[in-house]
Amino acid sequence: MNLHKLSLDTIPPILTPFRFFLSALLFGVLAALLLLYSREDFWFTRWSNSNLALTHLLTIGFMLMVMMGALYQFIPVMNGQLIPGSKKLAPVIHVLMILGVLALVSGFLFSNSELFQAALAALGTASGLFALSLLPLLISRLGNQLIVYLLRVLFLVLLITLGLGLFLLLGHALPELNLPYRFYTDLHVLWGLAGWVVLIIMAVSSQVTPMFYVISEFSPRYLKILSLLIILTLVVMSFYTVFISKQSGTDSAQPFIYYTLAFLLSAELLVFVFYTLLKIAQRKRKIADVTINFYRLSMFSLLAALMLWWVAVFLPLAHLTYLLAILLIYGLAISIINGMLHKIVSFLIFLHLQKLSLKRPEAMTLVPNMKQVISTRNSQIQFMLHLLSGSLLLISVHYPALTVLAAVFMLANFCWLSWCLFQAYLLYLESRKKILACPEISMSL
Amino acid sequence: MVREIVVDVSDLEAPQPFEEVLKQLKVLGLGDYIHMLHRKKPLPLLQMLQENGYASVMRKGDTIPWEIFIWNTADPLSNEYCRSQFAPD
Repeated sequence: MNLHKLSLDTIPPILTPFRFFLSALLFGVLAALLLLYSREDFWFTRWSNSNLALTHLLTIGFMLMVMMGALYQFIPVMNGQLIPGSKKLAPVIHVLMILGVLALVSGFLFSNSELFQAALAALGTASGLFALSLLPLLISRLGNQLIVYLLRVLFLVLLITLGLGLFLLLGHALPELNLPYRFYTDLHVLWGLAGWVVLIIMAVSSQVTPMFYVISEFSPRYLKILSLLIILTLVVMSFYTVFISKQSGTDSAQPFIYYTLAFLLSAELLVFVFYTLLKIAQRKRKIADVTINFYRLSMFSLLAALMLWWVAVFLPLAHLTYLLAILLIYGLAISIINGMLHKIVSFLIFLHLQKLSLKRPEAMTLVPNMKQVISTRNSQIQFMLHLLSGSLLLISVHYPALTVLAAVFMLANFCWLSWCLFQAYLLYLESRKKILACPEISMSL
Repeated sequence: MVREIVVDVSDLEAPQPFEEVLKQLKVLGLGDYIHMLHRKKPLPLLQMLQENGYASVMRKGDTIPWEIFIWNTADPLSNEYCRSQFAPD
C-alpha cells in the first residue's frame, strides 16, 4: 500500500491568481486599441513600433501574466504546496510586471531608451523574483512527479526566452552598446512560440484537461520524450543560427541543415497536435462543452501554421511572418488561454465559496455552480468573437482595409472576456458576503 | 457497525467529484466512511476536509488511479476502524 500522509496548502487567496488574470485582460484590450489606432499602417513592417508594442502587449502583458496567475493557482492544486512567497511576493511581482509591460510598450511606441531601461529593470526583477520563488519546487525531490518535470522544462525554456528578450531589451535600453539585437530576435521568437507556448500547452493539456474534460491521462513517457526532443531541436537550431549561419553570413549557405532541423521541429509539433486532438476525440464523456472548442481551435491553428510554413518553403508566400504570428499567438496561445480562463475562473470561484460554506451548512445552497459563474451562452459568444476576430486578423494581412474591422472584433473579444471574468468576480463577492452572514458551525454527524 | 460508502467519481469532470463527496458527507452516519475512486488526486478537497475535522488517506488503486478513504475524526467507530485499516502509523 502506498499511503500518503497529507500536509496540504493548496488554495492560495483568490486574489493571487485573479490579480494577474484581470490585469492581463487590460493588456489585451490595450493591444486591440493599438491595432485600431494603427489601422492599415500596422502591417507595414514587423519592426514598426506599433507592431513590436502590440506583440509584447499580447505575449508578456496577456499571455505571460495569465501564465503566472495560473501557475500560482495550479501548482498547489497539483503538488499540495503553495509556491513559496505566493502571498507576499506575488503582489510585488504583479505590480512590477504591469510597470514593466507599460514601460516596454511605451518604449517601443515612443522610441525612448529611458523607458526601455525602466522596462528592463522592472521585467528583469519580476522574472528574477518569480524564478527564485519557483526554485525550491524545481530542486525538490519531487522530480518523479510529472508536473515537477514539466515545470523544470518550462522553467528552462522560459529562462532562455526571457533571457533573450532581456538581452534584446538591453540593446534598446543602451543603444550605445551596439548589440546585434535584431539578429537574436528570430531566436527569441522561436524559443517563445515553439518552445514556451507549445510546452506550456503540453503542461496544461496533461494536467488540467484530464481534470475538466475527463480526457485520459497523457502518457508521461510521451510528454517527457517529446518535450526533450523539442528543446534539443531548439538548442541545435540556436547553435546553428548563432555559430554557423551567422559566421557564413547567410542562411542559404547551408540550407539543408536548416531545413532538416526545421523539419524535425515541425514533425515534433505535428505529433503534439495529433496526439492532443486524438485525446480530445477519445474523451470518456463527450458532454457538449464550448470551452473544448477553444482547445481544438488552438491545435488547428498550430496545424495551419505548420502547413503554411512548409508551403512557404516551396512557394513564396506574401506576409508569411504576420500569418504565422497571428496563428501562433492569437490562434494557438490565446485561444487556449481564453477557453481555460472561462473554466479556471469558474472553478476557482466555486472552490473558494465551497471552502467558506463547509463550516456553514446553511450556506451550501448559496454556492453557485460553475455554469452559473460563467454561463454556457457567454462562453459561446466568447468563442464566436474569438474565432471571428482571429479570422479577420488573418484576412486583414492581405486586405489591410479590413484591419479596423479586425481590431473592433479583437476589442470585442477582450472586452467580452473581461466582462465574463469581472461579473464572475462580482458574483463571488456577492455570494461570499451572503455565505459569511450564515452562522458558522463545524460539520458533524 | 462500520459501513463503507463507495463514491466512484473517476468519470466525472471537475468539480463534480467534489460535489459528490460533499453530498455524501451530509448523510454520513455513525461508523460510515467514504471510499472515493478518482483518476486524480483531489488535494484541495482533502485540504478542506482536513480543516473541517475529517481525515483522509490516499493510495494508488488497482484499476482506478487513486483510492481515497475519508472519515470523520469525531466518530470513534469509523475513526478507529479507518486508522487501523488505512493509516496504521
